[in-house]
Amino acid sequence: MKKRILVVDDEPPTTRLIRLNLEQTGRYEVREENESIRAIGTAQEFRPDLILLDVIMPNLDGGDVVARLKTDPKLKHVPVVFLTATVRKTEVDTHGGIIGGFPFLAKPATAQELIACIEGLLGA
Amino acid sequence: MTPQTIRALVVEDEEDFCVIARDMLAPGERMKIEVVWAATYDDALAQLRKDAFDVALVDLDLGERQGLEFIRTARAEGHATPMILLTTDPDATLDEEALAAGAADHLVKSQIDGFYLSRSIRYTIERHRADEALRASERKFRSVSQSAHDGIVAADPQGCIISWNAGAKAMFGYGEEEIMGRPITLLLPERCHAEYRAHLAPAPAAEAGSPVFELAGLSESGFEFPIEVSLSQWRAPGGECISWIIRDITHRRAAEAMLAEERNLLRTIIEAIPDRIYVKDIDGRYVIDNEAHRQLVGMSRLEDVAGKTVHDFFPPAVAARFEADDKTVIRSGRSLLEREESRISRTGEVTWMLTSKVPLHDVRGKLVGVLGISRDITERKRAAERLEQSAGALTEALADLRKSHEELKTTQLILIQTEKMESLGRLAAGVAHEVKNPLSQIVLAADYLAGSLPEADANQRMVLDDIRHAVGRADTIVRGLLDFSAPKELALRAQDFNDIVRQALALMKPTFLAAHAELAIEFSEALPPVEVDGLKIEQVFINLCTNAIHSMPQGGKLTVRTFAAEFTDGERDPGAKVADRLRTGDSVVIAEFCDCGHGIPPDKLALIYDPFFTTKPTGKGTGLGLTVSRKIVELHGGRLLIENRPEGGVRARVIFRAKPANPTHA
Repeated sequence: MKKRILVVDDEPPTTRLIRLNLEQTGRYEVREENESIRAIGTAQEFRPDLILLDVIMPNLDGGDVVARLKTDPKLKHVPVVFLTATVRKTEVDTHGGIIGGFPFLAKPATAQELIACIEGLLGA
Repeated sequence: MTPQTIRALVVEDEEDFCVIARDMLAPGERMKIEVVWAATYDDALAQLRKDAFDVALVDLDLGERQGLEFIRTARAEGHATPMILLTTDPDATLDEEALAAGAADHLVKSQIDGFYLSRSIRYTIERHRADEALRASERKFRSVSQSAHDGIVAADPQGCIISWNAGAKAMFGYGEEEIMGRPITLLLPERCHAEYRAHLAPAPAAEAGSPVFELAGLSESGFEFPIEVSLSQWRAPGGECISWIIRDITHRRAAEAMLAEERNLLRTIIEAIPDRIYVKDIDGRYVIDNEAHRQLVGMSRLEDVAGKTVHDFFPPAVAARFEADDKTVIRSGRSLLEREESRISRTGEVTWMLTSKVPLHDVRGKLVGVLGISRDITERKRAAERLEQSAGALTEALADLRKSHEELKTTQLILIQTEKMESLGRLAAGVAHEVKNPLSQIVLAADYLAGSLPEADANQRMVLDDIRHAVGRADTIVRGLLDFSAPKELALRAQDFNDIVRQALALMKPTFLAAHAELAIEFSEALPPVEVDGLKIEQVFINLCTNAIHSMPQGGKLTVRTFAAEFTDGERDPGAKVADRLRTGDSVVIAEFCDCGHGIPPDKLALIYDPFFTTKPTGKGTGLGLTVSRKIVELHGGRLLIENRPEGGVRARVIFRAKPANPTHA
């Protein structure tokens, strides 16, 4: 059974390319969401196994989205991986990929890094 | 004794009398008379005109003409020969007529004998000589009187003018004819009459000389002017006559007034001058001085000083010095100019004087004394001393000011640099964020294409690799920018400095191997701990190692050394923060990286910390490594010093303040 991955980023090309790369493995079903304000609703409807979440977005940033997820009993245990352009790769390494209790990936992340991170959290 | 020869002209129409007279006047012991006879009036005049005679005997009756007429004519012609009128009969009335006509005597022929006649002739001649002498004297007096510039006036016992000269005329304006006979007091204004009479009062004794006094003169036109009168009086028949020798002293008075004025002016100036001025005679006695000098010697009036010497006013040693100076001037005739002299007063106060002494000569050039001018320069001396002290203080202040200025310039440079870097950092952060998203999309796109083209040929895979590689390079630069603009918060922790270096070197190990670089490690094990953000410092060391490897493309030796030291002022870095920068004498720990690469061109040394400046080939460096590294070190209050080594290559030093062993005593 394919793992369900929700990708939230305000840039459609980013969500599309992540979806294509993940789908190419044949192991993931991916849903894109480009409006962060709709992210919770989409998650409630899609019930993802993991959420890839951009940090800097208009209207509602990644931190706000996580805060709301944590208030939803059905979603609060869903692992979240932040994707961010503001954090340096060395910091990701330094902090063991965890910031504020959440793993994250620094842009630009390769497909391999993305998949390795997801598999690390959900199991291969 | 040779008798005197007298030539006598006998004017007589009868020769008999002439013969008788010749007989009567036979030569005696005292007198020999030579008689010349003239029988007529005309003959007699001709004789007078031709010859000189000592006496003429003139008969009253000359035939057609009278003897008196002859006498008058002869006098009218200017003949001064004394004449005796002879008459036949005595006639008292004739006496006066004879005298009026100019006859010296009148004899009656019948009454005369030889003795009587010769005596009359002798007396007549003597009287004539006396008259002549008197007339000569009068002429002489008149000549002198008329040529004198002074007025010479005489008055008879009644005070009426009897003599008036040209000088008097010029002075008073009266002509001789209009003033003669008028009172001499006419020449004085009425208010002076009493004073004049007082001078007249007792006839002065001869030995007392003529009194001389000054009065006002009054000219004919009513103009008054000052005169000096020399009065003399002499006894004459009828009383005392007087004479005045009058001098118009208008010019003298004016000159005296001017002189007095000049004298007063000079005196006032001398008195007013604040310098001490004095004149001493050749014996060193004060002649005059001024107020300033009198103040010095404690006197108030010139009379208190005049005639005294320096010994009357100054202590013996000082007086002796002053006297020696005076004598030097008098002996040499040369001035002593602008000599500085100090004097200690009784109260112990030191005063300074600038003194000049010059020889003083009278109008004939004779040395008569010394003129001294002395100026109190105590204030000037003190001011000069104060000025000297102020100049010293000013020089020191100036040096301090220069130092402060240098420090200010350094601080300003630092502030400008910091501001520049922070602006650049903000810009870099913005750019980095915007660039990362497209980079992310490109790398994901390349990854997707690679996965969806399992059958792709070698060229297609190579192109995809090139894309990923290009993204990698771009990402390196963007990461550098982010590092540069990273927040300043540091995770400070006291830790072993060597551990941080070891960690960095361990991370760099694969790079060293790939670059064939030899690593030499010289750690000082007894280092004090440092309080730093280890991860950030590790990044600095990685940057420095990377630069070293890039500078040795053919491989080479990198020596990494750590040691403790005392910071010296020579290790300056204008980029350091001011407040927490290292000071000379601080205990520091140092990590030193020495490569043997190509070094940094000297003209580029100043640019190495500028963002995006690099000496590396394109693609090898971002130009941000040292910029970021220095920023990190400075955030820790440390120093990053990079310089070329004399033996080649670069020496980079990272210096941090050592954490004190016991912080409570820090």
